[in-house]
Amino acid sequence: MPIPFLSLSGDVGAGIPFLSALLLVLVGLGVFFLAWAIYSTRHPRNADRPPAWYQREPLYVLVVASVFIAFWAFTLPFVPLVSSGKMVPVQTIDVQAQQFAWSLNSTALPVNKPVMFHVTSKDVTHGFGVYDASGALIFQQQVMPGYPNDFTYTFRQTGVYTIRCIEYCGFGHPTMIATFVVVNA
Amino acid sequence: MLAGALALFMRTDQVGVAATDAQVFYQLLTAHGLGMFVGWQYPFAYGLTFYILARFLKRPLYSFKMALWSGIVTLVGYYLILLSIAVGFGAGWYYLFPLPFYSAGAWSSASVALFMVSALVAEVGFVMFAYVALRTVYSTRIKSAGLGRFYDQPSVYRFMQSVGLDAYMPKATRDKLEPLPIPVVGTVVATLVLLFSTPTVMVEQMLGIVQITSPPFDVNALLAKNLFWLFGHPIVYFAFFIIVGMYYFLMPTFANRPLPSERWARAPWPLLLVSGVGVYSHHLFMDINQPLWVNLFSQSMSYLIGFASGLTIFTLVATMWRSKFNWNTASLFIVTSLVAWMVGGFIGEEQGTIAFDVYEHNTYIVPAHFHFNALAGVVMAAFGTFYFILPELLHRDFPSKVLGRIHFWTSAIGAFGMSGAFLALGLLGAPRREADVVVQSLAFTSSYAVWLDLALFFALVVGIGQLPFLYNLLKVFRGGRSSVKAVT
Repeated sequence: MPIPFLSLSGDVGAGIPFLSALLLVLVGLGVFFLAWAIYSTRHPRNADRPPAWYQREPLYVLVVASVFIAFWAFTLPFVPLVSSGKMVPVQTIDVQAQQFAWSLNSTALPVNKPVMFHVTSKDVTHGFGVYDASGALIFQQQVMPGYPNDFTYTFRQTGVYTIRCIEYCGFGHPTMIATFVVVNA
Repeated sequence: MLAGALALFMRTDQVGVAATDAQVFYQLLTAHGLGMFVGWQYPFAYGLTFYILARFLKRPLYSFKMALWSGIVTLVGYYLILLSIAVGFGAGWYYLFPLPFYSAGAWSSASVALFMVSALVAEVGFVMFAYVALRTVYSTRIKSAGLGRFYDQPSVYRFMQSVGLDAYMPKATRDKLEPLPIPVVGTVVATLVLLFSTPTVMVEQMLGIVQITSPPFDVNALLAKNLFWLFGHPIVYFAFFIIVGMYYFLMPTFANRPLPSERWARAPWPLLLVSGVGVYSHHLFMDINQPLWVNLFSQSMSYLIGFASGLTIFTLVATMWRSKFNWNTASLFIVTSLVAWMVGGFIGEEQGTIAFDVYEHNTYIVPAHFHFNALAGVVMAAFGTFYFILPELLHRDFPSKVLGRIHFWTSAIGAFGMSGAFLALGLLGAPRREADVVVQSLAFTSSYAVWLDLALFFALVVGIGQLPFLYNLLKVFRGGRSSVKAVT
């Protein structure tokens, strides 16, 4: 159940544009509050007692707590394990990671259909990070040795995608890059 | 002891700052992370704790000898860790198992074994420190000059007060209790977090040593990752919580008025204690094999720590609001670190949400988060504390106010600039811990280059900004040995 503005780049959570905007608003509000407080010391008034708004600390508690609870509930469907588990894959791609290369049993995947990545590691923990053609990181998962690391995803756009190892795995780590294409099936 | 800790703080800080500029070498990356944590944070936090206990509890340390040895053991461990890195170990400061044992020929098992043993030595130092600090706070066997009535109270009350639980008691009970100064509460909470989390990493490292010495034995990667992060995230709060405790002393001092509410100032501490350890699994959000409920628990704890931090900032800002605030080098550093704490905190909350972390995990947003919090936050606050404490201990001011201001502005601009550049890189999707972030064959990575250059520029600003501080420090210490001893 993708919510339009929350699923800018796929089926999982919010995309970077949303997250950037969220940060901008939060940091903007916070910095404004502190800058105002700093500025207020230029004009001391009633300097011997705390400001009247401080009496509203319980209100702060209420507002912030509800924001957090809302975030918790709102993002739950987009938690990878939850969202990934709901999809029934039409194709499984075996991906094997090792120092310092990826090997895929198929490099052409269908668009708009759930595909499952069955990722395993021969040696250490790697990071399976998938970038779209514009360079946006669209999803990722850790590739832990000794475990199947299964993850289902639905690509919405055709094109070339890049896999980059995004967990430090040894001195050859930066060279661990591979590509695949998403095509109309 | 204090003078020693302060000097160490300086020396190791420079190591850390120098390594910040050189993002390209994994050995330096390992050394930078560990240098900042073990080499800088611990000596600084030990020194500050002993100062706080002496000043606010007005009682001597439970054992001065053991306090001294805890510092020595920690630093011996630290320099041995550096040695293990110098002879090849380069698995990063969190060395995800089984990476140390699969170096692809880059480092030897001997360097891994040396690293594990050295880290264990340092951790023995942590436990010794925790023992001395907690015995100093709780023991009734030490003769106290102040806070007399506090030690006459039943021990259960003393414990509850030491972690801020008195804020949740009825008013009638609170009025009967002798309050414990908040900086002491900060050191107790920080030390308890340290004490809870250190044994887990010691188990992980001992298992690692077994794996090196008896090869068929293979530590489960998921278990090791849990054991490490149960330590790895909580310890970042160690120096930080002590600093937060100091905020509650410094801000009223600068603002020339008391805290607006003693109760609200104590309320966040039990929450910080619980969430400080509970957040750990947000390092495993992208591990599909980590049980979902653990990750959801850690997400809740990440929210709780943000909530408690917000309470703290709210109270501190109210203390400052329209007060006759004394703006000097120390207070500039302290207030700026509050801004950084908030900015880094918001970034942390975003990453602490599993559904958002999909886009942010292991990208440059992570270094952005902890450089805002650790460099622009904890280190800046540490400088502020330093500028406040040192003249008081030496009975004389820093020789140059102008150099202090230059130190402040360069540090602030550099720290915020560098962390901001990291944030931009992260939002572009640049992965962290890449020796070569920009790759020729990937066209989109060329957009990272300008931000990397900016990050280097701002890092250099921070580095150069420490020179006036060093000069000021040398001058204030010159010929000051005897007076230091007289005061401590």
